[in-house]
Amino acid sequence: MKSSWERMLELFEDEAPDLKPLLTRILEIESMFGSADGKAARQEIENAIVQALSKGLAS
Amino acid sequence: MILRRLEMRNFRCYRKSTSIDFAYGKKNLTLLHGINGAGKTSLFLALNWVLYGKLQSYDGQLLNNNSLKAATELNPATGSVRLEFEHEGFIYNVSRHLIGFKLGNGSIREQQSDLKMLVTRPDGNNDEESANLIETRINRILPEAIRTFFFFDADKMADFTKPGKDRDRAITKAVNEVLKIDALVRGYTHIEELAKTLRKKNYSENDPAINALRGHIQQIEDEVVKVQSEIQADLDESDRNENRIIEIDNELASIAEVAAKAEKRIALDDRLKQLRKELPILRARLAKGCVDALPIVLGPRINGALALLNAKRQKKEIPAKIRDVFLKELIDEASCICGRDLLPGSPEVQKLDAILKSLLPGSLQDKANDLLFELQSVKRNSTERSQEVLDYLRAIQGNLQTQDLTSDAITELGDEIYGDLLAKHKSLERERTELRRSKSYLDGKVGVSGVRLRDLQNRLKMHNKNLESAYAKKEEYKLIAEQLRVMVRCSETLDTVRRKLEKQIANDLGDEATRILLQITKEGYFERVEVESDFILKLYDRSGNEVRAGISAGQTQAASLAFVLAMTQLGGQNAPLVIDTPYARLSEHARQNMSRLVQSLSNQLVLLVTDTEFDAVVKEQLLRHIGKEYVLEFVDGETLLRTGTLG
Repeated sequence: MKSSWERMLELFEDEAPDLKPLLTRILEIESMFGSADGKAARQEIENAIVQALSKGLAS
Repeated sequence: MILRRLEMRNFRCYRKSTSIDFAYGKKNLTLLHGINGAGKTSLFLALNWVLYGKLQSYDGQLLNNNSLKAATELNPATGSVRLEFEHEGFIYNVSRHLIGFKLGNGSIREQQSDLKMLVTRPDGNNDEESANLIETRINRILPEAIRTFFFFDADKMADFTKPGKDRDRAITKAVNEVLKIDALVRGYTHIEELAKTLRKKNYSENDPAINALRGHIQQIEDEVVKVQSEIQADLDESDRNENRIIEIDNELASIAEVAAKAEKRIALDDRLKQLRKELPILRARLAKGCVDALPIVLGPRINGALALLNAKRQKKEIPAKIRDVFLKELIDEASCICGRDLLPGSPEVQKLDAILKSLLPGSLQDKANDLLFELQSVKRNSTERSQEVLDYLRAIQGNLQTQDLTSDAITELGDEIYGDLLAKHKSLERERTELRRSKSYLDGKVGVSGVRLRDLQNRLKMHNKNLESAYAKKEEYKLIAEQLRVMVRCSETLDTVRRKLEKQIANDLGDEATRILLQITKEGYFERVEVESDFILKLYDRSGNEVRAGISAGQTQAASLAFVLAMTQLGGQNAPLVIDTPYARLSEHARQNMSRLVQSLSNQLVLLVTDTEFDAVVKEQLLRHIGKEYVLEFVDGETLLRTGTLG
C-alpha cells in the first residue's frame, strides 16, 4: 500500500509538475521543523523559493 | 527505526542492571512475558521515558524503591535507562539518568538528567549530539505526538469508537500527524504568511495605485479575521453544545433503564390506587346483586311451597310441624341446587323427590311435582342474575389478584428509583432539545458566515492578483511579483493536494481498518469500518447499521487496534510496534487471529504479554516469528529477566 508521503508526491506531479521539487522541499522543511519552530520553517521556505526562482522555476 | 538494545538499572522494579536485545530481521518478534506485576509496564515506561522524558499515563516515582530506602542527599540513589536503535544507517545510543534521595520528612526527591545521545555514522565514526538538538532529532525519527500509535498499551489505548468532539479533534490531529497531512497544512499556512508579508513590504509608498490596493487588501484581511473569529466562536459554542449533548446522551442511556422502571413504578402505583378504589364499588355491587338474586332464586320456591303447604294445612291435610321440617329441608336443598340446572333424574331432583315423598302424603305428590317444575322455572329465570353475581365475584377476585401482583412488582422495583431520577431524566431531555435547537441555529449561522468568508477570500484573491500585476508592471517590483506568483501557486497546490489526499486516505484508511478488523474478529459482529474526511471512525454491524453504543470491551479494543494498525500502515513510518497487553480484552478467537496478523504489520514487533494472555493458541501462532523471548520473574520486590528458549 502506498504511504501518504508517496501519495503526496504523486499528487504534486499531477497538480503542478514544475513545482514538484519545490513543494517536496517545502514538505521536507515542514517535516524537519515540525510544529515547534514556525519562524525557522518560514525562513527556510522563503530561501527555497528564492533558490528555486534563481534556478529558473517556470512561474 | 529499529530497536536494538535496552538497558535499565535501578529503574522501577529493575534494580539490577538488566538488558534486552531486541529481535529484528527475519524473526522480528521480541516476546516478553510474565505474571501480572512482573515488570512489563515498567519496561514499557522505560522505553517511552528514555526517548521522550515525559510519560503520558504515569507521573510517579521512577527510581527503584529498595534503592531509595538508604539513599540520602549525600549518598543518593542513581538509576538509568539506555536505548540503542538504528535509523537509516545511523546507530543512536540515547540515555537518561535519575538521581534521588529521601528528604527528612520521608518524601522522595527525584531528578532526571538531560538526554544524552551518541550517534554512530554509517562510516563508523561517532558523534555526540548537542543537547539542544537531541529531542529534535528523536522527533524527526519518531515524533512524540504519534508515539502512542507505535508504543501503546492496548488495554488503555484511546477508545476510537467513543463519540465526543474533544476526542474527535484529538484523533483528527493525531491522524494528520501520522499521515503527515499536518506538514501540508503548515506549509500552506507558512507560504500564505510569507506572501502576506511580501505584499506589505514598503516598496511602494509613493505609488498611489499600489497603496490603494494594499489599503483594500488590509481592509478585507481585517474583515476576514473578524469573520473567521466569529465562525470560530460559533463553532466552539456548537462544539460545546455537541459535547454536552453527547454527555446527556450518555447520562440518559445510563439512567434510561432506571427511569423506565420509575415510570413503570408510577404506573403501577396509579393502577393500585385505581384497583383499591374500585374494590368497594365492586363489593357494593356484589352485595346488591346477591340481594337481588337470592329472593329470585329462593323466594318463588319458598313462597310456592308455603302457599301449597298453607293450603294443605288449612284443609288439615298436613300437620304444622311437618310443614316446618319440610320448609327447612326445602330451603337447604334450594340453597344447594341454586347454582345448577334441575334436570329430571339429577341428584337434586331425586333428593327433593325423596324428601317430598317422605314428608308429604301420597295425594300431595302431584302438587310436589308442580313445585319442582316451578323451581326449575325459577332457576332458569334467576340464571341471568346469578351470572351477574358470579361476574362481580370474579371481578373482585381479579381486583385482589391484580393488587397482589402490583404490590409484588412494586416491591421488586424498590424505592430507590423513585421521583428525582425521573425528574432528572425529563430535565435532561428538555436540556438536550434546547441544545439541539441552539446547535442547529449556530451551524446555520456558521454556514452563512462561511459563504461570507468565501466571498471575502475571493475578493482578497482578486485584489492580490491586481497587486501582483501592479508589481509586475514595474521593473523594481518584478522579483516580488515572481515570488508572490510562486507562493500563490504553491499554496493553492498544497491546499488542493491536501483535500484530495484527505479523501483518498479516508477511503483507504476505512478499507484497511475494515480488512484488519475482519481479520481479527473474522465471523464477528462488525461488517465494515468507514472513516470520514475528518478521520472519524464509524463502525457498521453485519446488518449494515451504524454501531453507536453497546459494544463490548473486546469489540472496542479490536476496533481501536484495527484503526491504529491501519493508520501505521498508511503512515509509512518505519517504526517498531511495541504493544503492552495486546490481547487483554480479546476473545480466544480474536487473540488467535490477532497473533496471526500482527507480526506482518511492522518490520519489528515487541509484545509485552501476561502469562495468561500467552496461552497455547497465541503461542502456536507466534512461535515461528519469535526472535527473542524473555521471561519476567518478580522475586523479592524486583524483576529478574530470564532469556527464554523460544527465540
